Amino acid sequence: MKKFIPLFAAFFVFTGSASAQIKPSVVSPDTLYPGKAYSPYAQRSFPSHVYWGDSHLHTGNSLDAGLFGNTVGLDDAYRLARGEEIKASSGIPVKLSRPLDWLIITDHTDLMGFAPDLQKGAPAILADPQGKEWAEAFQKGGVEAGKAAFDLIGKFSQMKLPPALVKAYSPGADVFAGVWEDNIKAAEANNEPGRFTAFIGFEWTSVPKGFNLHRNVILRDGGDRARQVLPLTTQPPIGTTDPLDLYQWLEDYESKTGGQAFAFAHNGNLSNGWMFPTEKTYAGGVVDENYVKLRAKWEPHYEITQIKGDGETHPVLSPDDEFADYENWDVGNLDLSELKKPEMLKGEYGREALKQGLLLEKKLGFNPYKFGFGGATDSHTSLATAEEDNFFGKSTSVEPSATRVNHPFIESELGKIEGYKLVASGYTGIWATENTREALFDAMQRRETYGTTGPRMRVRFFGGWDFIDNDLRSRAPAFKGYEKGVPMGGDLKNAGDKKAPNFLIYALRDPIGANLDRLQVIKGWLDGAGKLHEKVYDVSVSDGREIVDGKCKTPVGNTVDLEAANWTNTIGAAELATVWTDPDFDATESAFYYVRVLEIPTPRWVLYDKVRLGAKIPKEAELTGQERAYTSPIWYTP
Amino acid sequence: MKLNPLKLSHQPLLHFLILGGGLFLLFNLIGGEDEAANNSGEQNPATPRSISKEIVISAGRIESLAALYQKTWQRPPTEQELGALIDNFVREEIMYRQALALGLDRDDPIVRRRMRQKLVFFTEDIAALAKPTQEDLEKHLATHPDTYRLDAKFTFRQVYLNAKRRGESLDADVNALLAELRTAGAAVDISQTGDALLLDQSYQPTSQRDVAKMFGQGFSDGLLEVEPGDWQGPIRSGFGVHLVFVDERIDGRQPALDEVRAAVARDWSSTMRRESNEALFEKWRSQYNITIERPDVSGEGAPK
Repeated sequence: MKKFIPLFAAFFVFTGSASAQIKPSVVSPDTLYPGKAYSPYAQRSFPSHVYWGDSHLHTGNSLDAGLFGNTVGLDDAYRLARGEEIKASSGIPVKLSRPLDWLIITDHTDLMGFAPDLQKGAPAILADPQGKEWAEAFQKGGVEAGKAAFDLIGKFSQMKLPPALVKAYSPGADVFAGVWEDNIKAAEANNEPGRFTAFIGFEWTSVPKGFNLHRNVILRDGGDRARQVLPLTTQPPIGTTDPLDLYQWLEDYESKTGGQAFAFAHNGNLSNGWMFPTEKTYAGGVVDENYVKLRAKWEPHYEITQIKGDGETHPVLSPDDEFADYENWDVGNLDLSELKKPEMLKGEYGREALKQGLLLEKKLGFNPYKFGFGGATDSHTSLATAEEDNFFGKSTSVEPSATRVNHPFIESELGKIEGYKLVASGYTGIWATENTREALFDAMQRRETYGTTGPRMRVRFFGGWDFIDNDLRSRAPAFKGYEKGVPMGGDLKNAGDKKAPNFLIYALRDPIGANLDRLQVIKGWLDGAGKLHEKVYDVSVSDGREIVDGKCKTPVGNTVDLEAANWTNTIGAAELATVWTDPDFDATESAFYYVRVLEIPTPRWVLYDKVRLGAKIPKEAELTGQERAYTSPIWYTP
Repeated sequence: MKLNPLKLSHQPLLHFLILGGGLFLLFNLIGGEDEAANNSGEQNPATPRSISKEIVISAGRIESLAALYQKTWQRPPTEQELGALIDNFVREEIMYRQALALGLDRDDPIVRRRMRQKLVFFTEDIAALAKPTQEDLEKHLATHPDTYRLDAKFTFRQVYLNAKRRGESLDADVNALLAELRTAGAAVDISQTGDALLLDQSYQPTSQRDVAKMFGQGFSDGLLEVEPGDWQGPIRSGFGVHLVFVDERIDGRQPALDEVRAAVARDWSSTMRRESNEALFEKWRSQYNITIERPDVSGEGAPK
């Protein structure tokens, strides 16, 4: 029997006329929080805010996005993320339900291509005596500016231009740097510490033979450092598709600039088994000590859910997990040039990678798959939309229309992925002390993050050895969490004489979202015989349902009105919380634990298309789903 | 189009148009390639074009390839790598020219989009040359007061009551608790009062926007109505109802330019770019005669 703490039952202290609770605490302030000040705000150095963002967004500057018809540029991508209303490429007005706190624009580096370096042109104008005169005249305005303009045009037409200006504009001069420079500039302009963080980043789009090995790169730094380098591409001879080369690029970036960066992958589900190799790598290498060491160093984060499929797990890998079959894309690789075979799945999903990581760590000394989780859109529309009722699709071609559900999104001779299979997902929540590049980057690196399929639920997850039920009853359980344990992304060590680790877990639903169905702990471990296992425990459920042997067999129900695309929060709970102890702990076995939070069923985006646009939804399409959050794991190492 | 210099004033948009027009002219002049005219979408793609069979890889080009490599890899290329870079460039140039000779660029939707995209990059870069004056920024701030308005900030405490769990007794509980709290006043210890909620009970100065992020917009709006200095409520949120004590409210206000200069400058440039692009497009469009021979294919019948 697992511990299930009926949180609310324990809590109601004000009953009728009883008012005994409204009086000064009798507890001495000195013992309230050992090592802390009486004021809860003094010396509060732990992260007390969750900051929401999209770690993976393309603008029209990405070649493929541009070719799909995306005409929305960097400016508008940031404006939308900051909460303003803009127009999508299709002309439809769009606004987020709430602003995001941060954004990484990750345009593809390959074929960033053309951009005449006009910024160099401006100084070139000034360097020339004639150019300087013109510039000054422009500054003065009025008649003089008009004269200068005519003069300038006249000189252009006669080819009597300042030579420096001509040279700066010569075809072939630094053709690549333009878009990178634009990305940097836009990030710098939109980065407002404390209010909105705009990271500088890019996507390294390695996709040999259609096997998705993509990585995004995020920099902790500003333009001064980013400008010293060019992002890595994948086309030889300068570019490469081997992740080991990307690690080298990161190493070089840090040593040259003194900055910090890391990489994070996504869509293992479209790699046909190559995303999380355990023996050989696609580039022809072997998974040896060097590989696992470098991967562990440079990839502390993984994008577990996004538009092109949810990447937590697959029913074939997790047959006992009744919620495993969620928004999976398992037809083939990215261009569907090779169909999926079941044996490929092992190298594709986040949960399985966490397990294989334990085995590789035992074999080679480092765990290459020790990453935290995040969600992102990977939208190519410049629009970071992840909510079901506000979903602008993967690309401009599938922005809202009555027919977008009816066309295959990817199609080849071998198979297809239907338009209705697009996933309105996701965002990343980061627990950090403040909204700055530095604080958010550091939190991602220490894996204090979680991914959601779009909703912004608040989720805390702490692991320790000494949590008691009372720790939850504190009005600020995070104090106890940080004092007595480690947060999501952390490590548990030194079991000592303790019987089993326990976990302080709580989740509060999105303030404008759906209630919660349940909290689950997913445990993976490596037994003494070298065999890997996983188990899903229900640890807290809504509506007074019963948990027997870690399972709540009663579904939460479904209030979705299929005609109105609506639901009610009459089932589920606004918040769930528990202190849970691992009932199957063996101190000699390495293990990881992460939390999955499930919402009650809500409409999928296709249903909004039906109600708002009269779309004819194919019979095969799922109409409702249980959105979720995945916390970064906590690892136990013997 | 005839410009009257007397009517020119300090208008960045105009400068943009002038500069833009000039630069396009410049590109035409120094582009060098004398390609067959290709000004009709109807042209036969099979028409062969003559292309130069002379390829010179200049020292400048090689330096540029090496520089690109160095900026990616933080070291110069080896002899062998440089050879590969040059070979690749030659290969690309030959194939590019052969493709051009065959007219493969014509009417290719990808090439067309790419050209359009390049044009946008180009015009945006030109627009970015325009720098705002103090007056521009002041005007932008004045015409977008809501965008830059500084949020109200609250120092407040809240006691939460779970509506779902309390059911029918909610109203009675709210009234009774509110009376208790008012009696106890500002100094009351609420750490054991009300139902649990995984949000803090008291907040240091927190902006309206941040309150809305945690409690929802409805609660945040409700808080604005509350008079500081007493227990008030209930205010509803998505979670249930709250009794609140606002210790201090710092009212929202319009900022001076210096407080928001960077943001205003960013938005001014962004607006500029948008308007410039549109203006430039309109200017170009005015130079075309567009005939649309629209057949009845919309599925809604012919337009009436």
